[in-house]
Amino acid sequence: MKIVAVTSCATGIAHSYMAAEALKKAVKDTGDEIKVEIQGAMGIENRLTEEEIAEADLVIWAVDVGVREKDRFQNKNVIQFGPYETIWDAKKTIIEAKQKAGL
Amino acid sequence: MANKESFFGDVRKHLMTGVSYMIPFVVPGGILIAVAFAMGGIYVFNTPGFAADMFGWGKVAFGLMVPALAGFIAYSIADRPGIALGFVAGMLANNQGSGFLGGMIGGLFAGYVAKAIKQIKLPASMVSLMPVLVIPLFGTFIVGLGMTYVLGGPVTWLNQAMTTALNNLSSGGKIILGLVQGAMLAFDMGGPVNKAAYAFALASADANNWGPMAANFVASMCPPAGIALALVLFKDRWTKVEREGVSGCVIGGLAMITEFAIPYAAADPLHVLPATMVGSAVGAALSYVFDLTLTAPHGGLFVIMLANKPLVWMLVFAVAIVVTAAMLFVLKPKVTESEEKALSL
Repeated sequence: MKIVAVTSCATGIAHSYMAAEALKKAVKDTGDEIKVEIQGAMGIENRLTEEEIAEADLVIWAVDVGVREKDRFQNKNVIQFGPYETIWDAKKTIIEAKQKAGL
Repeated sequence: MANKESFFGDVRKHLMTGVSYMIPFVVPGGILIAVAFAMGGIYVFNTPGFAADMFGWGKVAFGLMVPALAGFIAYSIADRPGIALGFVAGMLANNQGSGFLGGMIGGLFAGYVAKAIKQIKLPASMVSLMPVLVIPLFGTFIVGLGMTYVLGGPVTWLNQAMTTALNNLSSGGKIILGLVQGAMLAFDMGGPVNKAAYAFALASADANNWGPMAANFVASMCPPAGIALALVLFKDRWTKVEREGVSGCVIGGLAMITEFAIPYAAADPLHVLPATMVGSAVGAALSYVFDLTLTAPHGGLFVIMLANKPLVWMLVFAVAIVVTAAMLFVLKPKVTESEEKALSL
């Protein structure tokens, strides 16, 4: 399954990156493909393109602050989490997201 | 679009966004002001010269704290059209003396006003007027009315009442405040609960009470620093990979980046979190006991000379670190061989 994700946190220097790492690690177990955009204190890193968002089967936000350029996700069913629960157990995040999206 | 979260969950996220964008204004502002005072004495702003100029820069940055808070709360609610309305609301809050609280409420108000105006359907020929004329003009008008005639009075009163209450807290009250504040700061290490407690310290600083900030420093720096001490002293409680992270924890502890402690808490939250929470709570409470203040809003050990009593502050910090490490020793079980193999960060 193709997943795209956005991570962010209040300070934008640690949790955003840790959540992204956790997700990337977790897909090794769940057998999915993932690209994670990090919206940290230094701006948007690893930006998701319009095509990547359009092609994605599942969109996950692991965010604690408002997502920048939300309009890109207008036609997508976004499943939201906090960055903390994702860092704690990213595999659970992915499994739950799939359930919530009905996949 | 995004799946529906609860209203309060959304509000929390908007407030957190505001705090997130506000921090880069507060940190240089607070530190430049403090350094200018250190260079030019307590009447620095009346003594023309370099120190006074620097005081001016810091004051401008610090003065943008509440407008930035309100502006980006509104941005989180209504996207781009919210920013201008939020900044106006925040500046009005500043001028009224409703401070941080006024900025929070004003930012939410401005954001929802912008969002509501966005919903109005205009004929196609006039759609382009929406972002440049309709939302800014009518939005600012409504925000002005609301802030001046409705919210201003009560929120200013509430803000001043809270400031007075905080300044007149009994010593027992201060200890309880310190325990709660410290435990919150260590609870999720840079997460929302931590940021709520940090926002409280910033709000107090905005009201010119820097006591909570001194406690905030102790409690934020303590979890990684305490874990670092435990990593060195109690080797059998940690895996090899964990022990290799000790330099990160030392840096995190000194630079006041609590997040460095997260991997350790994530690997064993039930034992690590209670230990760091107790250490931070004790440290923050002691900071109130000794009436410590610290006039920088961030910066860790690098700005510790700005404390009213730097040596006492260091002593309190040392006690908090030792308590954290001792709690880890008591609570955390020894690592077994199978865990050593299975657990890797």
